[in-house]
Amino acid sequence: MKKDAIADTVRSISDQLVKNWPLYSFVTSNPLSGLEDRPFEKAIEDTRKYLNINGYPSADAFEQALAHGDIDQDILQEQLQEKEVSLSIDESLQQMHTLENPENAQTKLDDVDRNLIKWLSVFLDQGSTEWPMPYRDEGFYNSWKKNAQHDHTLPRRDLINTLPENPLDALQLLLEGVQKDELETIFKNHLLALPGWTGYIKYRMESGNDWQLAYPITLIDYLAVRLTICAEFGKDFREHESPSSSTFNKVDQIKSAWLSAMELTYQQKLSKQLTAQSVPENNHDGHRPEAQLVFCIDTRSERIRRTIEQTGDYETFGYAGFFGVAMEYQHPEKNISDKSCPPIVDAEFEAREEIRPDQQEAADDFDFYNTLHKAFNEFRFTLKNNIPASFGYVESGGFFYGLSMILRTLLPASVYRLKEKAKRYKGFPEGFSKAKLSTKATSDSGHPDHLSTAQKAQIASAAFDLMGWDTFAPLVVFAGHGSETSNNPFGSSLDCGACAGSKGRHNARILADICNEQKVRTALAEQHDIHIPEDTLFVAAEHNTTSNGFEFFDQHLPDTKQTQIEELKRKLDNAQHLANQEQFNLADANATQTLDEAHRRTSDWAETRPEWGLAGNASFIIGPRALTSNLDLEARSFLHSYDWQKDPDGKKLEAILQGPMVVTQWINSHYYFAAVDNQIFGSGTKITQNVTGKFGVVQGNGGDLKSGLPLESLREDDYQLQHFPLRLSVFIHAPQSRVTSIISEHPDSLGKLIENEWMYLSVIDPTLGNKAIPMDNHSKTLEKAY
Amino acid sequence: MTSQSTSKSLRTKNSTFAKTIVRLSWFLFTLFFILLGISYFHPIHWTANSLIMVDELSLVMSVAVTLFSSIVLSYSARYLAGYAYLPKFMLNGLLFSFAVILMVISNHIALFIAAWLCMGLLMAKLIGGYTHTEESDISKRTSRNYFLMSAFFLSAGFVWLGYTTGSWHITNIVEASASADPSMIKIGGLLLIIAAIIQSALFPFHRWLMSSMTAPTPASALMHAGFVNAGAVLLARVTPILFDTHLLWVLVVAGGIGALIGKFSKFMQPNVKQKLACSTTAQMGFMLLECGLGFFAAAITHLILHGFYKAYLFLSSGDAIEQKPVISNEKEGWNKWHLPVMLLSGAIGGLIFAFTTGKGLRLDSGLFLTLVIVLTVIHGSRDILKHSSLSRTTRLFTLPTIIIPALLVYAVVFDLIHALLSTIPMIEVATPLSWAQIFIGVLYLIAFVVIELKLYKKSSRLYVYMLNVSQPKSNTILH
Repeated sequence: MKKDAIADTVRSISDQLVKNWPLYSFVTSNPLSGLEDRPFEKAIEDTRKYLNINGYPSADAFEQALAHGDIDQDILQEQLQEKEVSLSIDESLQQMHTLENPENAQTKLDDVDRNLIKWLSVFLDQGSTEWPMPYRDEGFYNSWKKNAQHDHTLPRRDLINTLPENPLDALQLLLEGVQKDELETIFKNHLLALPGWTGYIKYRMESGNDWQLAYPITLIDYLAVRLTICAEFGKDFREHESPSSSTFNKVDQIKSAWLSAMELTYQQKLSKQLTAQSVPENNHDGHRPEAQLVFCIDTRSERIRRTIEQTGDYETFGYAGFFGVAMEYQHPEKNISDKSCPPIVDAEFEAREEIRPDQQEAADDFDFYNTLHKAFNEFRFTLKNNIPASFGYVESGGFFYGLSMILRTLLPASVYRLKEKAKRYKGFPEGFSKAKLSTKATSDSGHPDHLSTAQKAQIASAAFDLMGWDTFAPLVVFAGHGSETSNNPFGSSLDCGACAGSKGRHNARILADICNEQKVRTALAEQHDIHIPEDTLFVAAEHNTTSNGFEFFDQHLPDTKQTQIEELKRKLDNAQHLANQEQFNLADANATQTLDEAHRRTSDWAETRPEWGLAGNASFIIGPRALTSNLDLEARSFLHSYDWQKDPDGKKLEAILQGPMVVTQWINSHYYFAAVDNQIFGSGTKITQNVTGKFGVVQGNGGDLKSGLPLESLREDDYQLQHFPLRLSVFIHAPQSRVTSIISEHPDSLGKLIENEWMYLSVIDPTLGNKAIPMDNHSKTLEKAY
Repeated sequence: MTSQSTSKSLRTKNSTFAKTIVRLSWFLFTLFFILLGISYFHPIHWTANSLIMVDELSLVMSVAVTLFSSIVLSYSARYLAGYAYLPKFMLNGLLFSFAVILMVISNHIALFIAAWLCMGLLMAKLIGGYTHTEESDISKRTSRNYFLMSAFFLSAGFVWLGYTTGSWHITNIVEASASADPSMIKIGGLLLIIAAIIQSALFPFHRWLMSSMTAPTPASALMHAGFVNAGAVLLARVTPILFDTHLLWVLVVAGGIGALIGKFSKFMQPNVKQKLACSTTAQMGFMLLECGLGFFAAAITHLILHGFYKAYLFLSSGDAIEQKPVISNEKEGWNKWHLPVMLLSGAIGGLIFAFTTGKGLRLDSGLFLTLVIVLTVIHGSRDILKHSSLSRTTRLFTLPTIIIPALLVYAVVFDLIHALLSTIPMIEVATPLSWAQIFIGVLYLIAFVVIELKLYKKSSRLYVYMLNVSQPKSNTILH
């Protein structure tokens, strides 16, 4: 076997592995994204050859949806016929229940897996242990060799000493006598034996983060070690239990019909609602609202936008939550930088906090408390890891742990308010500094290269163009979003998906600063034909999706606008109450009660469902707010503002389809698969999760690294789903021809998604009186219903 | 009826039930707390047919366990909301605290054994009765086997002692054993010590604890705060026997070594819950060591404070996700003036401890505990001093502001518990220095130096050994 062939095969399989992101920057991606080149149903079938997955919702889920009226009986009957299932609705439901994949059909781990997991989990650890695996800096394969010599659980340790230095050489040696055409199957079986861990190795390799640079690991390392361990245990690496899929095919057919029916029912309802709205042909009526607020396209924005519009003369917009600023953010208090733009976009810029000249004192105070805090944490860590200091530590610290345990359990809302006070006392960077953007390439050399006015104007104009902006209000708020939860390993899954699981605040701050710059405004007027009135002020804020509260970053703004900002904040408190009545299911509660509940949710360590994140997401609507403003979309729709009339060449729409739409399809697919098979594509229940290595979770005593959302993000309780798995339905308010030409220009990135039914696409054509026109084969079956 | 309304009404029903259990638990806590308060002024000693005996040890333990279970149950009522098993879980949690209360008030050995067994069976249920995966069933069986084993040794020890002394009440057994055949009593005492060691999950009986992460998080909190302690309670009940038969050295050695192994194996754990489990076996080892030094009141104090500490860490184990920077070869700001400051702080800390708790003022086993505190303070001050990011004044100022209050709070808690337990026979008697104590003392000094200088990091042999020692049972990892 040639080494090239080995390396090439690994590389080609790597594309199909499910990339597993660390939980501190959770990315909701399609676990089967490597298979989007084939039809949805085929991708599920193909995955089954190696992994025993459930590809469709459970019979229970369908039964619930039917009972809720979320599946139209007529549509269902039609779909059953179309899929050539000659059963009645009741019979097919019965069939699904009886034929369903029993829960423990998953292949079990064996000694090889367990031994390998032991090493992977200590090697990949990111700073949680006092004593990291020795020789880690030599890479996984070599450090494993040096340590495994002492592993008495391996039956034939002498084997290890004879292994070559290089993992590829070792693989070549181990694979002697294997035919080239067997290679792919062998590798695939072994890489997919622990899909969570190999998915994380793939992440490490592709991200090349600091941990990877210091302690490199590759899939080749993994395979070399794994095949050696197989040999140790006397196991033939060709052997593989392949999951049987015979019972699947039949039930899949039925399920696929039910799924289509559920999706079509949703589409039909939504499309009727949308086409019933009157979108003024020309909405440039010159009306100037009191304020305009821009939110992320996130489904949760729909609810808060709706309630804000109810409370006053406010206009809201939807835009990707990174506000078009593709950047990394350098944390002032930690020595790390976070990506803060969509995972599909490369960070072009880097943002750093720069202390405002008049705020040096506040910054010094913050620094002092911060250093003290860090030192105190390290102090506790080293005490805990010392003999005998740890015994003395427990005795002298135990009382304080007891006290805070009582407070956190009995008075979570008060703990929240206390923490807020402490935070205000300590100060925060948003208050005393300004986030400065520089280009990433040159900032490494230590000479930050700040952006030119033209570059800044470019970022600002892109925002206003894509949203189809017309009139500027005196106050324009860019509201990023972030969640606030306690004791939650999946906290980052509730943050901004367009910011790669970070909070959107810094992007909002940067865009607001850019737009307030006089030079930028001049450039916008001269080069982009965007005229911002003198009296318009841009303000950055963050929408807290857990509490629906707002944090404004306005400490340094001119006093002249303070009264208007205060007025807006008051109205937002009102909107927060309205949104929370809905979000917490507390229709009769008063403002104090909803606020208390909001505070509890942000800080209650016993709460496993602090908020629902993007659960329920089902559609993406691209168009003016007039299309949706009178509708209650139940926080199930992504909304992107777009005015087709301001985009004659379709370039802006093209950008929306290539960027935000692809991201929403990722999010939607992630929720879909995590809901249909929470064991493999999700992380199971939080109740028995065990955080490993500071970056991931395993279940119970260990095992494969989990990826994806936990059960509690998808289910209300043991009986009731919160997220009904539906593929994304996209609605675009634009002429059909424009959409068709964009799709046909990008067959590989957009066309395949629609053609292979990974998502659905319909147009609401303004040139045909807002007629709904389905663009994919599937939705076309609904044409008569539209 | 639609499934939605079914689910809603079930949820309401379950949460009402859970709330009732929580209230009941807090009521029990309040009751015992008031009784304990009374006993501080008027010593309580109630017996019922000498089957039951309520004394200060019973009250202190009952207050502790009802407090732990009330917090854990309050937490669970929210944490497990939506799960159909919530009512069953809550009920078992409450029954568990009943079993502990029964154990600490039992005077008849049959009652004590029954309570001990119930604790074990309920805990096994909490480990594996809910999630219904294959792993959790195996973990449940594994832990149950250990608990049956400890119950077996407990019964054997008590029956042996009862047979030898002709009495079946613990107080009478203890009294009569002073005049019985010492070698016979010694065998009985040894059997009880083994029961205590198994219950404390001490090496080499720690495997069930390492495999118990299939339990819902709050069940683990209850296990580590309220279950593993039973050994110390048992030993505290029979202290005079342990003194008379000179068996304390067994506890010193087993506890001392168990603590070392637990601590070292914690160093390489990447999973947060396994880390906590290793730490628990170490802390339990230390607790038994304290028993072995004759300081049973100190051991009871330790188990309560450790319960707070460990329950807190389990309940907050979801906070462990964090993006940390890679730190290679940390730079340590070392200076000549550090050493005298460290030694001085250690000496001051030791003196504060000695004078506030009365230990270490004479040449006896009390020195050992003072040594632990001196080393803790030396280590703590070394850590603070090396932070060159803080100014020198800040460092010198921080040192006493952290260390002195912490020591004083411990002293207050210890003195309080000591005062409460002062009526229990031989609950706090320093023993003369023994070879076992000196051996473990030297071992700890060596361990201290090895850790301070990070010498252990060079040995991959030790690393792999400790890593393997602390693995969960292999058939409890299946997916």
